[in-house]
Amino acid sequence: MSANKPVYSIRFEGAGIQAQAMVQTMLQVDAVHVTADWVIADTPRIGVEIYDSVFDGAAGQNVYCARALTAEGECIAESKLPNPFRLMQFVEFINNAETSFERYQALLPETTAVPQVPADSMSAGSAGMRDVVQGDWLALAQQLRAINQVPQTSGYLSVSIDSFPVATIDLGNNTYRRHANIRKLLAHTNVINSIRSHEDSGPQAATDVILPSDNFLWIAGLMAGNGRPVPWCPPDQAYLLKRWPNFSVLNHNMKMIEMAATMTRRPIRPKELSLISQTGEAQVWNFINAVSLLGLVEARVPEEPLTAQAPQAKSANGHDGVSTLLNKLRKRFAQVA
Amino acid sequence: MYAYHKDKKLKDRCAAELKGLSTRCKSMKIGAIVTSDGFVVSTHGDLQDDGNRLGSMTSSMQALAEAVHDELDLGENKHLAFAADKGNIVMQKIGKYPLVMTATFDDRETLGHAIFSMSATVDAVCGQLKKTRAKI
Amino acid sequence: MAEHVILVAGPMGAGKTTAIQSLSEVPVVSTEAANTEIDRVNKATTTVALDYGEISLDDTDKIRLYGVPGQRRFDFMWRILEKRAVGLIVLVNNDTEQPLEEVTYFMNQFASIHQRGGLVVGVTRSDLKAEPGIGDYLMHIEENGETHGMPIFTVDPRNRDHMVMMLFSLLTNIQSRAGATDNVCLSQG
Repeated sequence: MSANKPVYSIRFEGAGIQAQAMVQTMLQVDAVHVTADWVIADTPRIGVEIYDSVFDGAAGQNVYCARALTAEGECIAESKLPNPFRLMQFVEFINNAETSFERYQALLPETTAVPQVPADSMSAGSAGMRDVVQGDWLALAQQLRAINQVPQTSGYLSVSIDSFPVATIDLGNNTYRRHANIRKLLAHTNVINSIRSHEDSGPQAATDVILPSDNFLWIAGLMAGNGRPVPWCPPDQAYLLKRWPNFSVLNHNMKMIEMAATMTRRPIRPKELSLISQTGEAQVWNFINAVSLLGLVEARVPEEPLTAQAPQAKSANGHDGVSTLLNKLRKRFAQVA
Repeated sequence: MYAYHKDKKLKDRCAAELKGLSTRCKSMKIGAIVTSDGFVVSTHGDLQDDGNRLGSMTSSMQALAEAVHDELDLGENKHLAFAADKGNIVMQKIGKYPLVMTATFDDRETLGHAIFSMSATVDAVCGQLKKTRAKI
Repeated sequence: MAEHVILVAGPMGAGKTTAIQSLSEVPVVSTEAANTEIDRVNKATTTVALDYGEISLDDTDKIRLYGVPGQRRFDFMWRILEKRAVGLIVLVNNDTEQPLEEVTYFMNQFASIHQRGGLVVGVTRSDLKAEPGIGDYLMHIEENGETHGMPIFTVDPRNRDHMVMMLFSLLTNIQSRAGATDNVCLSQG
């Protein structure tokens, strides 16, 4: 089991031993294609549940019902898998589940929630509201970036899906109100129906959580490029991190901490960062996009041409002791950070 | 907690007890009564910086000794003694109060007698403390 | 067994003992005494010698965590404990009198650790007092001669995830400095 991968469980409800053995075999065959560690477990936790197969009239065959469940038991992805399993369909479902979990966790951090505004002070009005943009995460990130570049002292920005508000950003207080409906973002990864600016705080509910607005910028930044550079981050530049993101209020993993440490030392090209931190280029770009949206990064023209050998040369430089310690620490706290 | 080191009357009474100890026990060179967090209540003898550094060190040593006692489940700490080439150092808690007495004795004194002499002074200081507003 | 000593320093009331309790996998050895400065810092007890906790990584590596007393009068303990340390976590409570000055004070006091290893700064109790912000700390630290790239976070010392993140950031930063300078040795064991 790899220490720096997330661990998700697969639980069987009624499905026979043969189905379990088949799933285990498929996971071994496809170990290189999955990004998480999948373990067969009986106890409910974040992961996938596979239910005993039934005959599906529409499909004309026996199918298993598979659901991806959060730690709170909320279903965030669902699929029917043929009996017997077919490798590619199974892998596709597992990959979708992994993506859903990643997005779900990106929306989770609540460590710095500030006290709620009492429900009786709710403001139901929405006067002065105007559409800013309709589009996707990138459009939202662009909008947020534009706002950040012109400091505002007041006003709100609402993000809605299917007319349901999912988040309201308070530009004056640098906070955002996360509505219960934000989970809809998981199912609508690329369709944010409307982003509106308005002058009042909009409707509030007791279930809303108030978080620092950096937290929302971070989510938008991670999602905006979908593994590729956003338009304001030229791919041929080197990037210097001017300061560390405040990871305690941002959903993060250990790879992000490693990337931050490397990027604060010198301007570095994404490809080189990917090699040094042994992180996929898509993850590197998501990170650079996010820190750029937070205004923490500076793009510079690279001073030297990129040589693919550079990272290997560095790793042989005699600081293996620290690397070994970090690997052990990563393993020790894999479930935490 | 009661600020023992700011109680003028107590400081004077403690100083008198330390002086009494030095009279009874000629080998005593330096004495101090400090709070358990290292503030000096009273001192006797030739001390640099009014004994503040000794006060802090006494506090740390006492706390470390108690940590060892706890670790080994040895019960309440009674006193702490160090023997050196030129003499002995004894530290003793003052009853149940958050105070510690520390004193150095030159090599004319046996460690046993130093501890015995100091215990009598600690009892006397406890008596003085009962006259103050200090709570255990 | 290689032992890696990490020190936790900062003013009284910053949460150093709590931070070590959050991280340690063994019962923390604490040297607490009743606090007679309650008018200055409202807490019942204070550390007068050290706090000690540890994290065993495997049969060969152990991280030893030492918390130092926050008051200046215990600086002799700082000198004793800093000798073996390779990394420093500076915690400062944002509601203390001069939090910016406190951070640079402790950074300067433990400059030798910073030079041979690395340090990370954690700002606690920022939920009770929002200012100064992280940007203010960075500006102040850089005005005092520190170079760019210091990890600084708002943290809750009771939150183990925060403390693990700080520890990991500290070690990662030491590693990246080692890569940049090739003169850092982490193990003192």
